Amino acid sequence: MERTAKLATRTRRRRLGATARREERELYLFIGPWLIGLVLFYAGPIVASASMSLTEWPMLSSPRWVGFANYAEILGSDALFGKVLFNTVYYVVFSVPLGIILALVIAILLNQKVRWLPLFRTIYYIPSLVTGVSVAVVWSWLLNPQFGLVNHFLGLIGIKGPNWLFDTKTAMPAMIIMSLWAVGGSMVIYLAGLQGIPQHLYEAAEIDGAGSWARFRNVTLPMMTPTIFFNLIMGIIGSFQTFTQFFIMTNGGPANATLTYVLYLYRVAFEFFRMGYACGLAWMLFLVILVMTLMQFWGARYWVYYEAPAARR
Amino acid sequence: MGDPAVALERDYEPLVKRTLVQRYWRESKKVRHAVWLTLVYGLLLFGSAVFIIPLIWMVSTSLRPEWEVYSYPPKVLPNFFLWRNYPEGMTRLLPFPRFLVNTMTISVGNVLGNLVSCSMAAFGFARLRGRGRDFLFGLLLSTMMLPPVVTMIPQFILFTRLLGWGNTYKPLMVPAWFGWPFGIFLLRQFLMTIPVELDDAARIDGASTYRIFLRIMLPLIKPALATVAIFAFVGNWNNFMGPLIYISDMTKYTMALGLRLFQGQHATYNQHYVMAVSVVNVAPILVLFFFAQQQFIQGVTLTGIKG
Amino acid sequence: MGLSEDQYLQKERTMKSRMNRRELLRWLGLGSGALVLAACQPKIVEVEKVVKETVIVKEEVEKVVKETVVIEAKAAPREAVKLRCTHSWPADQWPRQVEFDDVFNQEHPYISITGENIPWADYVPKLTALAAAGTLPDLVYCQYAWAQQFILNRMILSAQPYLDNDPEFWDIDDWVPPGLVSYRWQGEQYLLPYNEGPTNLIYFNKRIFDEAGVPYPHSNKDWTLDDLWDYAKELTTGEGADKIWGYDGLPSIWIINGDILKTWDAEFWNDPCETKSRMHEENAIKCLEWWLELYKSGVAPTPAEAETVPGNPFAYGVVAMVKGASWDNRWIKPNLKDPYDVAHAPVGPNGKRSSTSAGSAYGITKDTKHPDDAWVYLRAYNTTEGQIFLFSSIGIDPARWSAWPAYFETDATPDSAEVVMEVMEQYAEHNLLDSPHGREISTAAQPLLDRLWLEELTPREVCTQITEACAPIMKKNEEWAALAGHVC
Repeated sequence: MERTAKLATRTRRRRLGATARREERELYLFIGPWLIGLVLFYAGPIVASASMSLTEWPMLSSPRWVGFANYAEILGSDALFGKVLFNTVYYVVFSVPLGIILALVIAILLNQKVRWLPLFRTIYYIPSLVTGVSVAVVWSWLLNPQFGLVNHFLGLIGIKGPNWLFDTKTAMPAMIIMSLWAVGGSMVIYLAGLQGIPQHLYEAAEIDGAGSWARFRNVTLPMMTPTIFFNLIMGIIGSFQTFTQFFIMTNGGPANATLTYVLYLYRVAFEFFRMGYACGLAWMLFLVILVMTLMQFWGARYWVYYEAPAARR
Repeated sequence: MGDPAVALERDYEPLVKRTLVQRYWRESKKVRHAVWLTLVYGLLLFGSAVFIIPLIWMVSTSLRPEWEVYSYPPKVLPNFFLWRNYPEGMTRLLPFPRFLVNTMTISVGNVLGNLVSCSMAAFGFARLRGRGRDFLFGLLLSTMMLPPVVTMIPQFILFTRLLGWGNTYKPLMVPAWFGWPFGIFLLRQFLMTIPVELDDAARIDGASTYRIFLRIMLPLIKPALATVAIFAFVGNWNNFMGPLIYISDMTKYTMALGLRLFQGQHATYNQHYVMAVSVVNVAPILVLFFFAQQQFIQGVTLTGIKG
Repeated sequence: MGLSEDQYLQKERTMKSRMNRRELLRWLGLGSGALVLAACQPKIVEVEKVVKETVIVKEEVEKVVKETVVIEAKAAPREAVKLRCTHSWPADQWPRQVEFDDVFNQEHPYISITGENIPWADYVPKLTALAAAGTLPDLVYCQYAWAQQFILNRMILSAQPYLDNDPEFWDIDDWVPPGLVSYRWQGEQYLLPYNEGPTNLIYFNKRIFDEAGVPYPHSNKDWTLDDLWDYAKELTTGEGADKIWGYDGLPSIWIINGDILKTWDAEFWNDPCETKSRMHEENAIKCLEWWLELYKSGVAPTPAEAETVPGNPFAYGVVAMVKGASWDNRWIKPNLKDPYDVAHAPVGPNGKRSSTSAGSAYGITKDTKHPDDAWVYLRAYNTTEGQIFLFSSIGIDPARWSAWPAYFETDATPDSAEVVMEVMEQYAEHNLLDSPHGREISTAAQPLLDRLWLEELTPREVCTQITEACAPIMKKNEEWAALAGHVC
């Protein structure tokens, strides 16, 4: 009791000084483990990859210094760089927003008072767990032009289903549709976010006479914006680096229509044995993602609502 | 039902004149609710059918003999019931039970490490003030923006040559105790939805920062913690790149890596075994997820601030 | 239609190899005994020389000395050596490799080898990481496409010094010639191939042929490309779920030189230099036009129709003929229920047949601390007996002629397995993109070829664009070709 009283008076008198310093100390104590890990395990490799981008490095033998030749080649003479970047941006622009909306809708559906909720939630989570061959196989069927379910349903409403993965124009849309399947992950995050919305806000809204749509728009959506923002940023960062499903399903085909950036990077590194060039590509991608993310953070203050924004000093 | 508006109306009904239209509105509310329920169930069921197809196909294929795996046109529902594919697939060619134990070890270890380090760092970024905090947060996000392929080899050299952790699980488990950007970012977002008044109230009561962290913040973001746990668990469960690069002793392989051994240069052989093992691979996570839901979803958070 | 459980078990039993551990032990023992003797020889000779120079009771001393030497040779303890080797076998082949390693370890008490099986798709990433860190295993598996890169980066030690001292093992006539090509550099053999097989074979479904009343390929005459077309048209029947296609196996870039273009007197890259493209020439265009017409006539499944599941429609019994390599039998055999067989590819417009051949090898790496012991393993791996045990007895075509007879005896190969050997003897050539920039060339050309089947480009456009895209890459090979001593 005495100690706290002393503390209270001390802080009131030297508010700007000691408290701030103590808080800063605590800050660094809490983020200490992460910071130490960054320095120990990541700083070296990141710097290494940056310096490797200035070399030709077959990995099987030592690197050879070439200066900025790799970057000059990427921007100048690499015929695939533009195409790969376009493919990836195309993918990101469609799969991220669609994924966010779909995951949110499903999460809200799964937060209603319906029976067998845990079962439904588990079922919707399954596709994001199943990896590799199974995904490739099932989606080859669903999208098969002859007997796939997707074209079957399109036929029912009178549209002739396209060749999906075997046509250069529809291959990427097919992969975008496929990516929507793995919304289970984002859905789980939204479910967690929905749990965090205080009930009294809903009660207050109902007392004010708000219907379900108005409640959704004025209570659920604003309170979910931090979670939506998280999924947006992670979606951008993740889908710019999408690799596995493209590697398994199409390996860049047909005719490079689904060749994404990291798939191309992987090829350059492990099929052409040019890790230096691959590092250059990686850092270019880093710049692109950084710019897009910064734009999102800048725009966030217009639509993301935090109960407790991380206050500035 | 517990709809307060309706209850209110019912209580005051004798005092309020009800026109025909108003009565119809009340009735249609029930009808509307029924329609709403059917819509929800319908969508859920339709979506479930689509989302559960891979699991059904995996189970059907795992029960077929090898020459029935590929059929034209393909069949989703099981038509054979060769249960012995499971014990055979798990033991005959590769020691999958051993791999399962290995995978479990790595995943659980990682989950613990991630929970501890991510919650600490997230609390720091969300609640504490200091110089360079926003810059460091930007750095945190930036580390996720570089494709890990290019840092893979320098990191490998770091772990095996400098630290001598080659052929152990250390490179796969130790970094988890030093933070995970995904988890830190997620928990920070959730922590920023908790009102500052709680902190202030606690401080006035004399709580130290550590007490606030442990006793107030953590319990309030239980759903988010559970989410991080799930993602950490699943991410490590399916991760084959890490074990591939660092492990050279085949007895230390994981399930994901073992499964990849079935995919040969020209074709995937023994698809029926692959599917049997895949089902065994997915089952623990599904079971865990199914039961873990009671823990984190039913726990509705109340901020405890009286209006 | 399908097999009963008993038949299934029967099938399994007979698919096991004929050569068992006992036989292998015997052969390995003899081989290694010879090696040990060879290693011991110099010691006895030296001691005898010394003894003969001293002047005492010669015979008595000689006897004592000889006995001592023999005892020394027997009791001389060597330090135990641990070797590591990385492989990339599919899971069902791995137990065989483990068996071989166990037998080897028994026969060589001072050498203990541990194999590590790595998934195919991850082999190169893992190996490059190990190479970059300097912790490569003692021996590595290497595919033809990577071999020149490995050798040029000094990752592999030359095996030539060991081979020069071992004429019995290195009987050059016993090795299938195209198998050695990719693994040589400036006259020295770096890696030893363990298999080499042709890619241009035709597997045909006997049931479909019988039902259509079409004679089997190559059965009554030297069948030609026109025969292929005619048969395919006759064999293509049905609609929807009953559809049967006559032919599957459109050209892809990696085998286009040897399998497709050669009999039209055309080529894409000038083998072995890979420095110029001749894809834009008229013969190549005519060839592609012919194949496009075949595809458009509907006898071949479209990529969409073929891509129902990972695998091949031939395995479901809906394709009459498929162009395949000798190793394709490994997935055809367990999956196809109908009787089938293999035949020579058709004769081309120039009256001849051609085929590419491909294979893989093993080599000793620069990071090994015990190159001599690693050589002992590599040698044992590639003796006739080793190749029989590991490969030909389970249906993988070996790189040694003397190991081939076992290939015919096993049930893991199709009935007319001797066709495969005939192809290797008569007309198979390596003719693959194995230069350091080979992968870049095929990666640049394949998408253009894809667009031919998508009918987005005409054959003429495809050919000229391939040359345009690949010429600059191929120029980069000139230095390598000159150093390698290739003449084009």
